[in-house]
Amino acid sequence: MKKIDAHMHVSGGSQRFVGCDADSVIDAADRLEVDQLVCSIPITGGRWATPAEVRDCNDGLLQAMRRYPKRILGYCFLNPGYGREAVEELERCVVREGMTGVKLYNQYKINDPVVFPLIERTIELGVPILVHAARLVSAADIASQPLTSHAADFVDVGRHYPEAIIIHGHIAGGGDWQWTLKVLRDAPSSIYLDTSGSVMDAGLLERCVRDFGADRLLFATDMTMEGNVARVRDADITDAQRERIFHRNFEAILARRRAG
Amino acid sequence: MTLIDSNAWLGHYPFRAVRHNTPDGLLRLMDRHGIARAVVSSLHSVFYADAHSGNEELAQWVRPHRDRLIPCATLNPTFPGFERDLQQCHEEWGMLGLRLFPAHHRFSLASPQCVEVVQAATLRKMHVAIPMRLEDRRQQHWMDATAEVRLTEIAALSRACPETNLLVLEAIGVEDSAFVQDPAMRDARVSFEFSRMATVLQRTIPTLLDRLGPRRLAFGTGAPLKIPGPAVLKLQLLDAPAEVKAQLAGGNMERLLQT
Repeated sequence: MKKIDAHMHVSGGSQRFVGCDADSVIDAADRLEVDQLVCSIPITGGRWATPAEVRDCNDGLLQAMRRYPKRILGYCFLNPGYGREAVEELERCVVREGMTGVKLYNQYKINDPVVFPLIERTIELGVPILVHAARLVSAADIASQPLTSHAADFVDVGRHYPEAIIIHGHIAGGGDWQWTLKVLRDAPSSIYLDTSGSVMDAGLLERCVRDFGADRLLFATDMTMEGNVARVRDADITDAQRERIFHRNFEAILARRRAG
Repeated sequence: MTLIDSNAWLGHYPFRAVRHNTPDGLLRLMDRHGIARAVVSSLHSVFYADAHSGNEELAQWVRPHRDRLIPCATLNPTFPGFERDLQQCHEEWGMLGLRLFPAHHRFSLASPQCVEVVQAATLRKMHVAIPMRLEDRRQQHWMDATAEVRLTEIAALSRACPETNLLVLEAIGVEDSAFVQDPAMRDARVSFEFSRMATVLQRTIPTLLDRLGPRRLAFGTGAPLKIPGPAVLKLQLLDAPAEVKAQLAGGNMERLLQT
C-alpha cells in the first residue's frame, strides 16, 4: 500500500538529526516501502531562530529535495516572530521553490495572533502547516518549552480559520495523548492529526480513528520509521481507513494547492 | 526463526486501558505476529504492596499455557520475606527469571537488600530483568512519579553481581553507556531487549550488534502495553546472517531461561 510520510526530518544546513542524511532517509524509506516523505529542518528545543538560521535550514532542505525530487517533499520552517521576513521566506520556499507547506515549531503557539498572517497566506495558497505539538506534563518540560502548542490551541485556531489546513504533529510523541484525543474530538475540519512519535502504546491508533476519525489522520514517522509503519499497518481498522491514513488524506491535501 | 518475546506482561495497568492483557488475549496477539513464546510477568505485582500476590495470580493464569507463556517473578527486595517468596516462585511455580522495579518499589539497585535478592536469584540460576521504564516520561500520569532506571545503575549492579545474568528491558542509550565504552564492561553478563532501538536511520541495533556481538541483544515487544509489530519489523529489516537473527529472535532468551 502506498505511503506518504507527513512528518519527517532530514539533516541539512547546520542542523543534524542522527542518521537522517538524505541518502539514509531514502534507504530507510525504500526498505519500509514509504513512497514520499514530507520533511522539514526546524530549530527545536524551545530555541529562538533568526532569519539567517531559518534560511540556512530551508536551504539545507532544498538541497535534499533536489537530490530526491520525487521522494522528498518539503515544509518550509518559519519563525513567525519575524513578520515580514517570515512571509518573504514562505514566498521563496513555497511559491518559488515548490515546497509543499509550512513547518512551525514552538517559537510561538499556533493560536498566537503573530502567526495569523502566515496562516492566512497558507489559506490563499491552499497548503498545510505542520505544527510541533505536545500536551506536556512535567513542570520541567513546561518551563523549558512554554510556547509549545497543545490540542486546545489547535481547536481555538481551527475555529478562527475553518478553511486552513493545520496539522497537529506527533500524537505519539506529544505527551499525554489520551488528553489530546479528548480535546481534539471538538476540533473543526481544518485540524488534522499525524500519527508519528516514538511512543508505541497499544491501542493508540485505534483510539485516534475512533475519537478523531480516519479522514483527517495522516501517517507520519518523525524519524521513528519502523514503529510508525507497523503502527498503521497492524492497527485494528478497516483497509479503507488504513489507505486514507497511509496516503489518501495527504493526497487530498496536496490537491488543494492553488497557484501563488 | 523462533520468536521468544523477552518483554511481555499480563494483568491490568493503572494508567490506561490495555487490551489483550489476559493469557488468551496475549496468545492471540502473539499468533498474529508469529511469536512462539513469551516471558510474562504480572503488572499487578508492580503496583500491589505485596508484589508476591501478583506472582500467585500469574502462576494460576499461565498454568494452562506453560508451553508458550513463561512466568517471570516480581519481587520487592524491601518487602519482608523475599527469600520464601523467591523459593515459591522458583520451586513451586517454575518461574525462571525475576523482574525488579527499583523506581516503582523505591529502592536502589546498589542497596544491600537488592544485591541480596539478586544473588539469591543467581544461586537459583534465574536471570534478573530490569525494565528501564514502563511509561514514556512525556506522558506520565500524575500519580506516576517514577524516573527511568539509568544504565549506570545497572552497570554498577553488574559489577557487584558479576555472575548474574542481567537483562535490560526497554533498553535505550546502550551505545553511549559503559557497556560499550568501558572495555572492562564489554563482557559483562548483561543483555539488552531492543524494542526501543532502531534498525534504520539511527541504526542502534546494527551498531550494538557490531560492538557487543550477537549474544547480547534480545527480541522483546512490551506487549500488550506496546504494539508488537515494530520489534518484529526491526528484526526482519536487520541486515545480518540468519543464524545471528535467530540468536536475537529467541536463541539468546532461550539461553537465559536454561541457565
